[in-house]
This record gives sequence, C-alpha cells and structure tokens, in this order.
Amino acid sequence: MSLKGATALVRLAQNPRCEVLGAMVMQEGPETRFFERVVGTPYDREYGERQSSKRRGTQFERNAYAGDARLLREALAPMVGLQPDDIRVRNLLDDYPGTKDDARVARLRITRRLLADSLAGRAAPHLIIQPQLLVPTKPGPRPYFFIAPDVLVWMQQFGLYVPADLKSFVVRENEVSRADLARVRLQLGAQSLALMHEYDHVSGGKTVVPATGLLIFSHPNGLRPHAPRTEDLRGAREAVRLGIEAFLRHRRRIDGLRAGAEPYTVTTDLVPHFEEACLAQCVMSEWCRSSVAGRTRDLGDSAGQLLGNIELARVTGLLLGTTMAASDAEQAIAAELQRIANEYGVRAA
Amino acid sequence: MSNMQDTLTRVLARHAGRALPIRSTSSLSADPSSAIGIATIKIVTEEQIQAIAFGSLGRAPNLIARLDPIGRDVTDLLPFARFLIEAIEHALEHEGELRIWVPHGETMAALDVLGHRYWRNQNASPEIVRMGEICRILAHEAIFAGQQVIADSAQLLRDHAITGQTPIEDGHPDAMLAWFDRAVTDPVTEARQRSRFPASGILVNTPDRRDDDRIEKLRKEAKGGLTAGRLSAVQGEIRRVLSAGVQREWDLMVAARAAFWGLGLPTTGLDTLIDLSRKRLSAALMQGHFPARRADRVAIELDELDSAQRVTEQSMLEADGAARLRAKRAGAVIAGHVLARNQPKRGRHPCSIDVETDQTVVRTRRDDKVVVVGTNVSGVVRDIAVAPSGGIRVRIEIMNGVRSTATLDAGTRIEIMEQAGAYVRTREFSQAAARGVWMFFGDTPPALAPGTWRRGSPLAIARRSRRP
Repeated sequence: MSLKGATALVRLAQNPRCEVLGAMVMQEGPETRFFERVVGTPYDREYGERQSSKRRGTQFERNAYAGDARLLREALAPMVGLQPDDIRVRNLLDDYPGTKDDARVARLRITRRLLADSLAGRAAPHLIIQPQLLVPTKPGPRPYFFIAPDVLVWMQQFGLYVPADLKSFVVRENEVSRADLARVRLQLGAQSLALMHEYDHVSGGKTVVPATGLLIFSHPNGLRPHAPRTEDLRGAREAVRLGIEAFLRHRRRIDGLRAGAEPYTVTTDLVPHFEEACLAQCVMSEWCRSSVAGRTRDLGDSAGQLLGNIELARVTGLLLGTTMAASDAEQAIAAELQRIANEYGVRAA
Repeated sequence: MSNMQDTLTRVLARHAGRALPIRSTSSLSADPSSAIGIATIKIVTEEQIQAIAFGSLGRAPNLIARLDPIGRDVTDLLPFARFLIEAIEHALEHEGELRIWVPHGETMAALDVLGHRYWRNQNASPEIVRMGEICRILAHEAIFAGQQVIADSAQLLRDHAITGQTPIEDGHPDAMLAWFDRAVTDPVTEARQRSRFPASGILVNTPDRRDDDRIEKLRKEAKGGLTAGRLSAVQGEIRRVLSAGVQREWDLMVAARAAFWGLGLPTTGLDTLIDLSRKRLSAALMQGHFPARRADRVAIELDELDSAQRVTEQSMLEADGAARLRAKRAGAVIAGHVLARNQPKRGRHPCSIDVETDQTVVRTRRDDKVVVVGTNVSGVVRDIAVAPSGGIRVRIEIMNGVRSTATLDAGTRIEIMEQAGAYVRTREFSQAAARGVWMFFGDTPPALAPGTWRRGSPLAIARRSRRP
C-alpha cells in the first residue's frame, strides 16, 4: 500500500513538519518498500489492512449500495430532505469501475458534470456513489492527489453536495472511539477540500462549500448503516491544507537534493520530525526515532517539549551532580529530580 | 501528576531501568477468593469475539475457539454464558462482591459489543440474552471512577507506576511489563521487541506470523465443500491458532496482575469505593440494564459519573501519602498548623479555626467545603489571606466535628482538602422531566416576564449575598 490519495493527505496533516514523510508521499510503491530501501532490511512489523477488515469494509459498502442504495437512502433521507423513494442515486462505479487512472479520470469528468448540473438547477442525483475528486499540487512530481469519497450527498440545508464516508466500525450508543474519529475527520477534511476545488472548477469560485461532512458507521447487528454523524470539518480542512502546504515545501527541498534520482535516495539528508504518534502509524518511525536517541524526546512529546530535547545524559548528570545546572530552569529540574529520586528510592549512581 | 512530574519520573525510570511506583496505596481492593478472569480475541473492525479464555485465577482457563463467529449460531458461547451467570449469582449472594480481571480495556469493549448484540436478541437463548445483559452491566460499571469490579490489569499498571518509555508505548501491556521484570536487563530494547506483536485482544499478523490472515483464509476454505478429513484438519488448525492467541492474552493478564500485586501497595482506604461499586452492581444485576437516553436520565448519569470521580479522588488523597504530597505541591491539599481556635463554648457551634501554611500555592477558594484529612472534621472556607510570615492563612468555619478538640486545638498540624460533593441530583432532574423543562426538552427559551431588574454588576450582587 503506497501513500496515495486521502491517506497521504491525512498523514501529512498529522505531521506536517516531517520531510521523510514528504519523501514517502513522493516515492512510488509501498511504504514498506521505502523502508527496505532506506534501512536495508525488510519491515518486520504488521503493516496494512487485515484481510478480515477488508472483507468487512467491502461487504458493508456492498450492503449499503445494494438495491439502488436502499439502506443509504433510508439513512440519509433526513439530510436530503426527501422520502427515501424520492431520492435519486447515481453509482459511478456502474459507469467506470476500477481503480486505474483512466477510470478515475472518467469518473472525475462525470462528477464535474453532475456538480455543474446541480448548480444550474438541472436534474442531478441526490447521492453520487463513488465520485472522483482531485486536489492539484502541480507543477512537480505527484502533481495531484486523487480523492474519492464514498458518497457525495446533496444536503437540503446547503443546497450543495457534501462528502460522506462509510466506515464499517461498529457504533454503540452513538459512540465511536476517539482515535478512529480523529483520523476519519481528517479524511473527510481532505475530501471537503477536494470538493471545494471541484466546485471552484465548475462555478469559477462562486460556491462556498460548507465545512461539513457525514460519517456513516455500522450498526453492531448486521452490516447496515447507523444514523449518519454530521461532522464539523473546519479544523480538519485547515489541518489538511497546512499538510498540503508542507508537502509542497518538502517536495521543493527533496527535488533540490535528489537531482532526478528517486526520493528515497536522499532520506538521510532530510529532517525527520519524530512524534510519539509516529510509532502507531508510520513504518519509518523507529528509523526516525534514532534522530532523538539518547535525548528527552525519546521519552515522548511531552518530555521533549518540557525539557527542550536535551540529552538524557545531561539530565542524569543533573541528578548525579556531575553536571552543573546552566540555568535556573536546569537548577529547578535538578532539585525536582533529586526529590523524586528520594521519594521513589532511586539511587542516583 | 503534572506533565513535568510525569516526565521527570520517566527520566528516572529510564535511569533506574525499571518502572517506578507513583502511588503509596492501591486503588484496587484485595481480590476476593471468587475473582475470575476473562480474555478475548476479536476480529478486527468486525468487533466479533472469536475466542474467549475464562475461569478462576490461578488455574488454566477454559478456552472457546469459535469456528464461525460471524454466524447466527451462538451455542458455542453457552459455556461462557453459564460461567458468567454463575459468577454473577455468586456475587448477588455475597452483596455484590465480584472481581473480574481483564488484560486491558479492549477486552471490556469487546464484551460490551458482545452484550450489545445479544442482550435484547429475541432469537437467542435466555442464557445468551442474560450473558449479553451482564456484559453490558459490567461494561457500564467499568466507566465509573474507583469501581472495584473490573480490574483492567494494563490500566492498573499505568495508574500505579511509570516506565522509562513514551506514554504511547505504555499502551502496550507486554512492552510495559518489560519494565516490571527484574530479569530484563535492558527494558528499552526488550519492550520495543515485545511491541512487535499486538497485545490488544487481536491476533498477531506480522510478516513472519500472519495468524489473522491465515484464520480468514481457513474459514473461507472451511465453507467450501471439503472432505470430512480436510474439514476436520482445517477446523483443528483454526482452533489451534485461536487458542494460542487467546491463551497469550490470558498469560499477559496473569503476568500484569502479578506485577501489579508485586508492587506491594496496601489496599487501605477503599471502603467507600467498594461499597458504592457493590451497590451499583447489585442494583443493575437485579433491576436490569437501562442505558440513559432521555436528557434527564443522561444528566443524572453524568452526575453519577462526576460524583464517582470526586469520591475516588478524595479517597485516594485521604489514603495515599504520595498522591497527597503531589496534591500539596499543586495546592489542592493544604498542610499547616492550627493558629487559633475561635469557639466561644468549647465543643459547641459556632466554631472556626485559623490555619497557617507555608505553602505559597493553595487552590482552595472562599466558600469551598473542606475536610481535615483523617478526621471527621469538615467545614467551609470563610477567608484566605497572606500571613505575616509570608505563607497563607485560611479561616475555616467548622460544620462537623466541633468536639474534636485534639484536631482543632492551636498548634495541631493538619492537612485540609476539598470535600467531594457526591450529590446526585436525581430528584431535580426527574422533576425537570416531569415539567418538560425547555432546557432539556425544547429548543426555544420562554419569553422573560416583564419586571424590575436589579441594577449593578452581577459580581457585586453576588458579593452582597455572600455570608459575612
């Protein structure tokens, strides 16, 4: 699985300062291949989606789209403001199936036409299933990101489409785990940005796309859609926009360094930005972590922020008394360390 | 614990090469003899339990490896349902005494989903339905601060000790255990190696051990007309992989439990929490589970959760010297001496005391209700002023314990902390529901009746209404 589309934008939004991530986004091929080429050994940890998750996700979408998306129409009827039977649906996978670029471009053309029809007041579907959008980053390598929401939903409240994503996570009492929610909000943010671009394309910048998106999770019983959650995407959209800006900066720097070679070749010249969260989501996390080895940031983001990413040996020296405190702050740290060491019975030496 | 204290303790733990306890008492009472354990393996995203280990602690667990966890047939869960019902009946006979150890919070989440699926399933057998309801009750109890029923072994370790790795790495129970194992000489490397395999109630799926993908493939194979011999072999392999996976989770739980009790923290000062937990559990088991959905019920539940949090914090501060020391540094506890007792008639109301402390930070404010730690004395803060010595002087009107002369006499050293308000506004919210108050059940506020408005600053009005 390579870093493409909304996944790449979400990752950039989560850690916009990491140049290594920028190189991974530019590099063709899967992330694990990037790791192997840089580190020289195969990636030995779990990576990618499990077969069981893929199966469930596919089945959930199949159920939702079956019978002219009957379950989706029922779930989204309050947003559209019509009875389920009156909601018009168009599934673009029926026209151009597949994930090849040709099929995506064909779906993009149809999506643009449907957006224009809707704005002009012509007959347009209320639900566009598997539409295709695009975020341009040209000129340069990786000149655009294809963004594919699961559904575009015409919302009566705005008179416009908003992105909706189907997630097969189980929802109980309307609760979804925070980690899942944070990630999918960013994903919706990327989709909303791409939709802004497409509306600009068809209306010449006259349409104000609401910072709203819909998340459709699964009921615990049976793979059927739960009542949609309406998400405020102002923060997510801004985070993704900053991520894209960061990518453009990283790309300029990487292009300057690599002189036509593949992006991974200049990884050692790049500045990684290791964060705790990287450990849970990036194949390069342990490699990047080596840049903070022996420093306080190796103990977490909070440690790095509070102690200024100084060397752990220096902090230990303050405890042992072998290092002289260079400032009032260090003096306070030394005193606090001594106190905690005494409290927990840790021998300094 | 502040971020700075947490950080510096991590530095020290890294230096010491072991986890450091951050409490001097346990937040969990001693295990009753009937303590049991449950570990699960779920299908990722599906949230369906595909293997369960359960049983009494100190013995080999009973294992259920489910061949078709997505199917409608749940008779394979019956042994677990019967076990759980038996444990609950025992608890009801013993005033709600129950202790269930789980490896981590993911297990409770998996049991909650299991409960959600079956507690009102009319097609399931009564035992499965009851199991579903019990699972929901247990999962609900687990969200209350200070509850004494569910022992989440990973969370207990995190609450009572700090390691020399990042907080996010502490989320992996096996990695965390490396810091508790005296035999491990390099916990940093060992923990990172252990974190290669998940410890969150799912199967391993690394490039060198694709258990999860293998099970998925075997299940598919088992569905397509195999010979009896091949089908038996496939089913045997599914059972073997699942049993090994759930046994690993069970072993983790046992190791974490041993590490927790190995800290040797006394289990004192937990009587209130034990009592509250037992009462909540007994009531739910007898009356059934009713999730709060209406606004007034949700408000009551939020009050109950808040109240549990406050009582837990107060119990911890009263019992735990280390926690109290940290709270004192943060100003939440005032340690000082009684400067003067103002009590015209000894042993009678009215009574107030002046307490002086050398602390420069106190978080207590006027009108706060406070208690004197370790006594029955409680009161209300009436004044806070800078003392001539540079410390802080606090005047407290004593409401309870005016006869405790040993505590109130001048010169006595005391510690004061805020009194937990454990009041749940059940009646008020129920009345709000009966009257259909617009804040809960409407969208528009009522029009204000015309009248005379009091002029002046709201702060000044509040100040005037304060007791002198």
